[in-house]
Amino acid sequence: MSFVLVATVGGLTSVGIYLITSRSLGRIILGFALLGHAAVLALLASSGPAGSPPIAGTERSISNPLPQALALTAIVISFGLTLFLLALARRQHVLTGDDLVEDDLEDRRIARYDDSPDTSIERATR
Amino acid sequence: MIEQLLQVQTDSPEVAWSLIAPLVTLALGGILLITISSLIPSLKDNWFPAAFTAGTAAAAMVFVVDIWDRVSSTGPEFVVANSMSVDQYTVFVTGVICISVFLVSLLFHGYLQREGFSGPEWYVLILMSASGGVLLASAEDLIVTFIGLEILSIAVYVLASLHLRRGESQEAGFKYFLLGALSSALFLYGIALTYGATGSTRLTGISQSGLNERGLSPAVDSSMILVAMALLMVGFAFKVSAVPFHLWTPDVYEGSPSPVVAFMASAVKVAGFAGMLRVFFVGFGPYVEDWRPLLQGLAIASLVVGSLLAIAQSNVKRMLAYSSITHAGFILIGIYAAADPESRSNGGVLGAEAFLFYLLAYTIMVAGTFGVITLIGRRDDGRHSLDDYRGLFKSNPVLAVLMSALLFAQAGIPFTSGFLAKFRVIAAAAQSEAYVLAGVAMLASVVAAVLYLRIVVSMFLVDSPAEADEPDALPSGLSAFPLAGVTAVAIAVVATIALGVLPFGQEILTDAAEAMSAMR
Amino acid sequence: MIWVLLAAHIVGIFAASYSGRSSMRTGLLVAAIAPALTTAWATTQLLKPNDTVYEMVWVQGLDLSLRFRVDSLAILMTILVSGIGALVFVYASGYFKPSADGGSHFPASLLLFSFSMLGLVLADSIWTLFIFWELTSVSSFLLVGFKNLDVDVRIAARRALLITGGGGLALLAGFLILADASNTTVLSNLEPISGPNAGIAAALLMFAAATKSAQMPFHIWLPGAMAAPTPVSAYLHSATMVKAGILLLASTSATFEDVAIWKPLGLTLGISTMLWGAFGALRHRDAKLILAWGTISQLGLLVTLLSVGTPKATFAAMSLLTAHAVFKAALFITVGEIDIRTGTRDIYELGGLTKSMPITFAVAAISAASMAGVPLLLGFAAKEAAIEAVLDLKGTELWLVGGAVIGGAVMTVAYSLRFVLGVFGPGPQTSVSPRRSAMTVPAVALGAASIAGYIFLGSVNSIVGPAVVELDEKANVYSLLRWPGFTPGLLTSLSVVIVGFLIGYSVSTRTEGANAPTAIGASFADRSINEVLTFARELIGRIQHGSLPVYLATMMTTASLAATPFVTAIDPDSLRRWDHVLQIPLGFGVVASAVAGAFVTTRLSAALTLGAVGIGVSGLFALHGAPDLALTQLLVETVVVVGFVIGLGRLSRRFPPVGGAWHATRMAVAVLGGIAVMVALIASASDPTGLPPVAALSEGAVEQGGGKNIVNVILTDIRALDTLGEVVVLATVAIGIMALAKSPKPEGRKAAQ
Repeated sequence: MSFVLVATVGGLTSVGIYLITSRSLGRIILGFALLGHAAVLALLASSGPAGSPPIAGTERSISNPLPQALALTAIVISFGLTLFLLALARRQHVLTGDDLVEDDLEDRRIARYDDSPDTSIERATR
Repeated sequence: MIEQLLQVQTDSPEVAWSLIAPLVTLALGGILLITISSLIPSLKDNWFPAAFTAGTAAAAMVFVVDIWDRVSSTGPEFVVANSMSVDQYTVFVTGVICISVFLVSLLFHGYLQREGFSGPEWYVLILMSASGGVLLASAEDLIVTFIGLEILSIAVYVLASLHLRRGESQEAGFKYFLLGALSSALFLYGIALTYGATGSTRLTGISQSGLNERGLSPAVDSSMILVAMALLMVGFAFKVSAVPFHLWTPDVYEGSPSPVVAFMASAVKVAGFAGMLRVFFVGFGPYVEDWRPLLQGLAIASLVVGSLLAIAQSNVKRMLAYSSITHAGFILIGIYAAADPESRSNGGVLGAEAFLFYLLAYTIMVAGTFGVITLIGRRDDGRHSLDDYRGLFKSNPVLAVLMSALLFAQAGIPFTSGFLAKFRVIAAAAQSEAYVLAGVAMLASVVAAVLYLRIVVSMFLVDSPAEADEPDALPSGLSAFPLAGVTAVAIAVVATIALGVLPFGQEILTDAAEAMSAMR
Repeated sequence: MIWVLLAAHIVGIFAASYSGRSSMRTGLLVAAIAPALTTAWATTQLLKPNDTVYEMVWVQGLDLSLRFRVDSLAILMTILVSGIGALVFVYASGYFKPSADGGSHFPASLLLFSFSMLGLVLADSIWTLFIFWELTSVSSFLLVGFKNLDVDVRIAARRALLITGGGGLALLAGFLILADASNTTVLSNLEPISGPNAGIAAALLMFAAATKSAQMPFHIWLPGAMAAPTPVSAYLHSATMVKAGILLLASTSATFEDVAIWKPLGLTLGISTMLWGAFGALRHRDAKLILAWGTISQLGLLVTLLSVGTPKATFAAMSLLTAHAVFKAALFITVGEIDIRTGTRDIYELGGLTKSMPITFAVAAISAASMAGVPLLLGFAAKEAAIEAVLDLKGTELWLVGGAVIGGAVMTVAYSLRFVLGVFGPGPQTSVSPRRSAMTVPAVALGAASIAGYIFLGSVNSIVGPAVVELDEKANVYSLLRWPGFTPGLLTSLSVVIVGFLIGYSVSTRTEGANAPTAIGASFADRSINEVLTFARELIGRIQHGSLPVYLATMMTTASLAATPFVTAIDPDSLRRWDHVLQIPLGFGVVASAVAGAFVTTRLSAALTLGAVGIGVSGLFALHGAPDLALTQLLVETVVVVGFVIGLGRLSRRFPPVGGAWHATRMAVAVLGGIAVMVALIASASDPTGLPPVAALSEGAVEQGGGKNIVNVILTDIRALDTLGEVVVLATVAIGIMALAKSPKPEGRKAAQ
């Protein structure tokens, strides 16, 4: 296995993770796309040594075709998902004017409930 | 691997279409629906998509009945080059998924009209997702399992975000999608490790190598397979929202359109459990002693966290989101008991029966419950606090009584399907000597009962403060609600009570449970 | 017949709910029909020998069935449950105003309770018993909790539900063990069991009975439940539901007779409850609470007698149970009437009612006397049997149990007198509203029953006697005596009455300005419940922070840590530095563009770096010998970049800034993730299980797929199902994008596609 390939995969993964933990949808999508690249490269890296294109009947040593088939699938799927995310982000923008992911605060609000504990839970039903 | 691949090649022309008819019906139904609606746009906005979808589910159900008879006599059948298997277990789960699709499509109709959304996409996505679920339940190969899981999920990610006017809906879709995609990635990682450890993605192949390992073949790296199982379990646990992979559940349930939540909580969960069970029973049967503790941990955590966190909520959708986590815990106990290595020797398929009955009962009652929530949510689907349920009995007695029946069922009150479901699970757990699990389950069910009764009580409270002069007060009288939605809820209630009172269907359950136990 | 009666109840529930919508009174009277019919049927069965079993099987494998048995005990209990039930419905129709709120659910809920209780007393399978036991808990919660918007009431209802619900759990657990140990689920077939499991089962059932029948320290729910309307208290909290635990103990005591802890546990519970309850009845000044605490005390006495376990004690217990149901229901009913007609239940504010409420006074006085065990009343005969039974004991038991029972009896007399004096005796002349006959008739009926029971003691014996024999065959020699003669027992009871009378008289003074006594224990229970709720809220704050980035970071970290086992599997020899020297610049370019993309501040440049990464990756594909991949990647990348620009182009151009600590965490998670992926990859290469079957694939492609491009053959032929699945995924996504592009706002444009 080529160390350069592995390092590239690691680098892409790191940047991808960094990006998807951001609050901006645009960056999250960017990170998602990078992780997709990383996954495909990883498939390729684990497919064994490089070779010539896997065409039957070639004399030289060819690269392993099975992971390539899977990788092709992975590319197409991550392509579709990225576009879907873009559509979502755009819709979010139409609705809210920006593309930030808000925290869902409902549960934190409940946790902070600083009513007297005797009745607060019952009051919550009001 | 190559032999198997070639096996595929030689066998693939022979597809036993009649055995995968429900799957094909659901998928083709979706394609037909979108085709017809784009050719004849006038059909888009009336009853046609809902009727078509419900009809498709009913047609699939007819095939389910037919196939049931067939596999009852022939035993399990392997189809599409052995990558799927059709046995009574698969057929049962398929039936449950069809029921969910049927109910949800009825709910969609009034909902879309109220919210002013048109178009068949909602229905098409439901059908697609359901076909993914069926595929997941019957998959005999991890790759097929993965594809089923993805088809099932992606359609639901989309559905979650389809309420175009609510920012919460977009966010729900986004969160569900990203977390789901990550869990899928972990699942894939698990597949890769499994392949690395056993040299196969086919479930039978995996279990063969497992047997070898037990039979002293050192070739299989057992730490690798442990991690692989854990990762696969994470993938499924995410889908069925078992703790600690439940984090998305309350946020997504709250933000998603209510009828979509009905589908998420029923069909998606059922399919997730069905897939989990098949993968672990067939593929990792030899490792049962390794993964059963995982189930136990998930079950206890789900029961405790689900029931504890639910009681402090004040939003009904969130409450039910947490309660669905508790239910997941119960179902996991069913699997745990069914996976008891001793259970075959003492002749019991109690765990398997409990699991299957729970799936059926839960699907119907949760679809009904979220059906009522759909009806009550009012335009923009945002009225789900406990306050919005106050005085419901006064303005809409029928709806309040239906909802009470469903909540009672969820609480496990006798003479509802929920009671029998919980009872079966607890009895099965006790029979497998899983006393801790049974005890935790019992405690959780009491805590959960308080939760459901809280909703019931607030519906029956007499006054409804400031309700009268509100512009979008809940209309009184049943006729104010869409007929299809009310019908769906009524069907759910009748089925819930019938399942809880009448002792029918035991043979079906036993047959399916035996098929399930035979997978190990 | 049982099915018909049960069905009649269910029909009645719906009918009552429907007819109650217009008027509470109609609803209640409709609801009374089913219990009245049941009572009539049970009366006709009284003197016949009876032993019929009705069974409907639910789940064969679990022995889960509805199984009822009509025997003498069941008939006796049915008459108590349905007879008092019918009277209470009539009473309630006077208690509530016809226009009272809740007419559509109160009668229905009360009838639901009646139904549950009927099922409970008839049950002959442990599971049937359990089912109806749970139903009584739920329906009583509905009856107590529904009343009003008062937070305290609902807290009390919640407390009751949690305590009895916990008891229900113990019952389920105990029954599971019992069924396992005795190999049957039929109550009447239970055999004595022993062993460690039997001890656990005994403790669990004792606990269940203690919660339901308000034994120390679980009695705290009962006074709280007094917030319910009086018909509910009269019916549930005195006559029937609280007897469920007693019935459970009675019908399982033979099973546990060999279990060592059964008797001491029962005696401890029973005696402490009896004394503490009587003390409570002497403390309180709300007439209804006095009765409630009195009930607790009487229940303690019943548990004590059943735990003593001699045939004579069992006989006494069942007689007392019958007498208690009659007189306590009557007392509650009178208190309810007083409450309605005077507007208060405080014995410091009540007084002088003998003239203005003569009938009520008569009923209350007779019933209280019966409770105190004054001769010539049913209560006397039963109390007499109890004292005879404890005086028969030997040694320490005699001193312990006998002393406690006699002490309890003295206190019972005292609080009975205090009740009558406090409510009716000299004091402020309370003004009284007119009498309602619907309240009077049931009161008179129940009051008269205490007298009639004594006059027709023979009939009572012929009903109670066979019922006790169902529990203990050796009890057939006992009967209630009208006049026992001057035995030590009689002398004891007479002195009990006299001493109690004196004590009662002396404690019946009013203390002006005294506060109502606080409920001991109840607040502790509520605090504990609130502790749990607070804990739940804190837990929520910890777990459900609702932040997507944190969720993602957590999942990533977990996944990364899952890779740690593979560190040991790394084999450095399996690594080459590179396959092709051009990989170095390409790989470097890819990572550098990605890093740049992470830190650029405008969206357009981010899109461009993404494009650069894509091109670099396709270069890597080409180098690896995968031209199909390279081409697809290029194509896809172009579309994605265009989509990025279209989709996000209208957003404010700059990314928002990110804060400090979180930034560092993200970095750490990211680096950890990258390392984990590398470790896993290298480790997988070190373990060459899946050797590439290149040659075979190559042949297979040509022979069977009919194509030379192996990748294509795999996709279209060999793994066609997978590919089909991917097509479906893409189609789904396309539909989603289409649907999202439909804009509810006119200014929206077509989405990125």
